[in-house]
Amino acid sequence: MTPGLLGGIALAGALVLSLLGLALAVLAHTLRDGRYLEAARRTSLLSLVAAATSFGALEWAILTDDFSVAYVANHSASVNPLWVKLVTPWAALEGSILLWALLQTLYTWLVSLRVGRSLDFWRAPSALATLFLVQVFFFAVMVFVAHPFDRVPNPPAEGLGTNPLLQNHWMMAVHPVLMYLGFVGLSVPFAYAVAAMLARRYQSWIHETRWWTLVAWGFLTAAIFTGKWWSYEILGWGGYWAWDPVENASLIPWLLATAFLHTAQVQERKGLFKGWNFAFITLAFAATVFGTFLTRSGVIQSVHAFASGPVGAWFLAFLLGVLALGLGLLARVFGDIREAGEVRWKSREGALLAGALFFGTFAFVVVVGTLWPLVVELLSGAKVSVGAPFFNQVSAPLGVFMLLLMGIGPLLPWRQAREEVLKNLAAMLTALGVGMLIGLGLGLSLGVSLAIGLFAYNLTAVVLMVAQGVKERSRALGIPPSQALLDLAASHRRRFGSHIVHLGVALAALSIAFSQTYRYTEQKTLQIGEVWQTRGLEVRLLGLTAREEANRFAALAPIQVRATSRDGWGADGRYETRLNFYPQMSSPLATPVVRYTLYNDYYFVLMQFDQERGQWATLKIIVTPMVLWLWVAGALIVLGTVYILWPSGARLPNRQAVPSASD
Amino acid sequence: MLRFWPVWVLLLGGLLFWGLQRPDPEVLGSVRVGRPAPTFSLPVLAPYRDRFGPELGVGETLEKPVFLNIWASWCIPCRTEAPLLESFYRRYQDQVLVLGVNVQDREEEALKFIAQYGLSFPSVYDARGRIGIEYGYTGVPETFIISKERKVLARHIGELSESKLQEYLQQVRP
Repeated sequence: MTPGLLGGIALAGALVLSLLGLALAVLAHTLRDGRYLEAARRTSLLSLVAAATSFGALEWAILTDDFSVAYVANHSASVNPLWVKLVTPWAALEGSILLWALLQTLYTWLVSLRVGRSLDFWRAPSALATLFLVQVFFFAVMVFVAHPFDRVPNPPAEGLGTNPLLQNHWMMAVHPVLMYLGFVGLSVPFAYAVAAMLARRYQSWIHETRWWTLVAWGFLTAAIFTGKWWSYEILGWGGYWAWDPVENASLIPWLLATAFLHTAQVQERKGLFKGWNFAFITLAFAATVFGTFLTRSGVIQSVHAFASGPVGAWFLAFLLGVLALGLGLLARVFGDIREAGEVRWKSREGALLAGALFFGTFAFVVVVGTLWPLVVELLSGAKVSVGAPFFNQVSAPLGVFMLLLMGIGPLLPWRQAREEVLKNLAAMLTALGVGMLIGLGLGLSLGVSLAIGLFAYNLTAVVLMVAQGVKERSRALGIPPSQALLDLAASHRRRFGSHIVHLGVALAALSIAFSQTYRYTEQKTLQIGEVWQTRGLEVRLLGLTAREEANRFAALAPIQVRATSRDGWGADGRYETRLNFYPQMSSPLATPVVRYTLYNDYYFVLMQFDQERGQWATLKIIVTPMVLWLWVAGALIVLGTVYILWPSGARLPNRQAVPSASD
Repeated sequence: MLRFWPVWVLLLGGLLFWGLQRPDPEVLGSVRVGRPAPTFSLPVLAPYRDRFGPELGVGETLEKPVFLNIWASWCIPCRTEAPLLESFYRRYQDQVLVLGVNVQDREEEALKFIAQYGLSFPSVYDARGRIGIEYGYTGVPETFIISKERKVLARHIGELSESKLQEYLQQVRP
């Protein structure tokens, strides 16, 4: 048995099992027979095993340098370090689809465990059928157009190697997996929505769907932040977000899922916004497919694009199918779910809807901006590109609006605003004003001062909310405030978790405002031993050396840095800037060295060096304030999500749970 | 809105399907290669006005071959390309004109970029995307190699390299 053979058989088996599961689930749905449902449930575990076997076979082939498998010959090399080999399955098209399909079977299996518990017999068959349908699509793509185990008739002695950009940083092991967990995770809410619309049961799906969406959302958030950090660490331009079409593709489902997480709370409590919820979930899942289509079809140029192949048309058909299924069902049931009451804007539900509409609008703008070049080319034949300036311009005002809403929304009571809200709002607006004035007083720009004010405003909002709850509880029960705080934090996870997430978002906004406004870049060619005085820093080029490594060749330029003023605070030290040369690439890959501090990040890049005599090197320095806080903010958001999701015996969503009194 | 969902889905599908049918710009040469370069004249960015006058572009007749480089300050590969083009220009400015066209950008950002990399070759500012329509570039950076006879000899999509620049230089040499 060779890895290629095992993988191919397992892959075909997974396709057959997915088809079988689909057929069984459809039978269970139409015949209303529990035996078919039970069989479909068991099939999901078998398809997971088949997919895992196939994935394991690919790892096996890569680890044993089996170059008779085309994927291994094209994307791996025997000299690659072990960790690079372990992550090579998702370094190219076919393998990444295999990982995707594997995670899909995992989610389907997890959902199958919910059958008979939270997933009732009216909805379970169609939910499973939807998930099996998605599985069928991915396995069919692999079996028919992008087979990961295609054979090479005359295997080469050595493979072509992995894309250097992907083996230059360990983040390759983390970011793509998180992204897929988030993308694939959104298929579950979609399946629940489809099932709810088919069964015409519009309320019971929402509680658990919110839970699943939060899981996927947490992974997506983590993926977006780790992606930012990765590009910051290796791309060498000192930025973390370039509004590249594929970055946008990860942002669109995130925005739509965020919108759903907000409106879903209203449906849980008040039964409102059913139509919005179905629409947001359908669009969020469709957006993940749209993103996949963009990366794998070559329709829009991007740094992330995989080599384009015939899979584009398949993904397009799948995208249209998902949209047609979700929107078609929604149009069918729309008469049933018309809102009974009117929404009062000055209430919690009003703020939540406004927030969701904001996220929806933002997503729409990003979609339009991403597709605009294509529209223009279709209509006029001209090639244009929509770049960062457009997106930055539209996202800044939207961001300010969001931060304002985020502070006040959770303070508003359900139904109707009360008097004390005005008092709270006054305190928050004071914080906003004071923050802005402090910023302006320090000579910071208007935008950054506004960001400081908005951070203070949101911080005040959270402190007020927590303090009021603690005060009431400690007075009512006669316990010390610290005890009351601990009690509340333990019993109101959703509420406290969302506070943490909101604080993280506000901190991220602050960090983005600072780092985008006050980035400082300088470049200079230095002779060995020469000292370069630049803003707050003294940089000495110590030498130039070369180093041979297994999969690459590196040129190293060690530097000694000393801070000469406050602008260079924390930069002192010896750093080794390097250029990596990979045999697969004509030009070298710079690996920046970053010195993180709580204040500035110091980013040193070796740009060029004297290749003939080793006398000089061109260095670039990028100093950006507050970037570290962006990663802290990302960690906070993910922590807050985990805090909400953390199982606490009593609150397991085993049943259609009673909405807790707190939120 | 929702009632017309098939229309929306079909519109999106049509657009993306059409996008799929387009020839890959990196595989097929531009329609412009081998044909006369479109003429244009655009405002010169401030740092170069003393030396090159208020407007610059591709005229009916050329003094030298032109390397027309389309860039933007927000574009990542342009940042690695800039020092390369600069050193190339310094060496060969008596033989070719490197002409930057700043597109889809804010002027102050463009000026910052120029100052940061100390670019001495001139750049013009194309606020309205005229170049985009005439030359049909697909993104930034992109470079059109134009002979002294105003013929487009090559089109380079993406970042240039030292060896590519040398190759193009050989092509435009008389």
